[in-house]
Amino acid sequence: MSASSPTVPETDPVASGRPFGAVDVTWLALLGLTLLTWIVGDDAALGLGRSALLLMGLATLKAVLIAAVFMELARRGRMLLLGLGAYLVVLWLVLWLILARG
Amino acid sequence: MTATTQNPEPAASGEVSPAPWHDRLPGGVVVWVFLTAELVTFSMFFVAYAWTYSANPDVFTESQSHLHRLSATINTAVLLTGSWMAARAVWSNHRGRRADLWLWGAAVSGVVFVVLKTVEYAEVLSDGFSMSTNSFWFYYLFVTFMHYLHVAGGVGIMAVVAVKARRGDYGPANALGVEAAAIYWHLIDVIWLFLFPLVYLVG
Repeated sequence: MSASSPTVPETDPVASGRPFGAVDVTWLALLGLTLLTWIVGDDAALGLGRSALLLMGLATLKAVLIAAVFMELARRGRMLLLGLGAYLVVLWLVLWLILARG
Repeated sequence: MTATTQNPEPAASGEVSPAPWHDRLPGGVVVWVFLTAELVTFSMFFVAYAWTYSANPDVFTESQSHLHRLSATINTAVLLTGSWMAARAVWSNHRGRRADLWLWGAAVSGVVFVVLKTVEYAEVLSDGFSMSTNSFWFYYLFVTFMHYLHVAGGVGIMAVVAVKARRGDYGPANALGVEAAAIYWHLIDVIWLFLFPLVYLVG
């Protein structure tokens, strides 16, 4: 590794030795968002367009969280995270636009 | 252990030395090429599903009502927990700690998912639904079964990597195998996160 390589940041669990980190908090957030997804999906009054917008939006948010924290792209591949995030947002909007026609 | 380095220790200045994995793309480039191909393939299935749904909303809504939303929600939580365990395995491996138990945990979560999904398939088929019933059941059975096969394959990958991790084949200086397995597991999760609301909830 070159001399110019960045050092492990203080927030890195390897350096800090903390028992809990971003991975654990993200897991709890993902479970909470899944519960919210179920509640929104069970609300028949929303209609197809709104439910598609909200449900696919929640899916996109959860996928980006997984990419950023679980896949470590926030620290080790920010350009890839940007590209993947943009792709998922486009997918969300495309699915919403198609479903809203129904 | 085939390749070992000490964990980064704080230097006298308070800084820590670079970890060997820190500047590298997690899992290596090849796994990301694979991930991109998989994601694009499933995206096309999702778009085709949505397109067919918008043309037949009544058929899809009626067919969806036969599925168990709660069971699918529980399966989502199971997969997310497996993903958390896979991320924890990478975290532990980077610290030079045991990663195999976390990997086994992820594999078990995959087994739970497969069992719940198998029960769901059995119920659907015993109710008389098949791929030829209508376009909803075609997409439901085809796309979710494709994902099911990915999860079953992921269980095998996790088990193999767990055995190798227990044997000491991985460590902070040799993290690629654990990272690649974890990235694959997260991919399965990301695909399901779109599949779950699309097939079970939207409508």
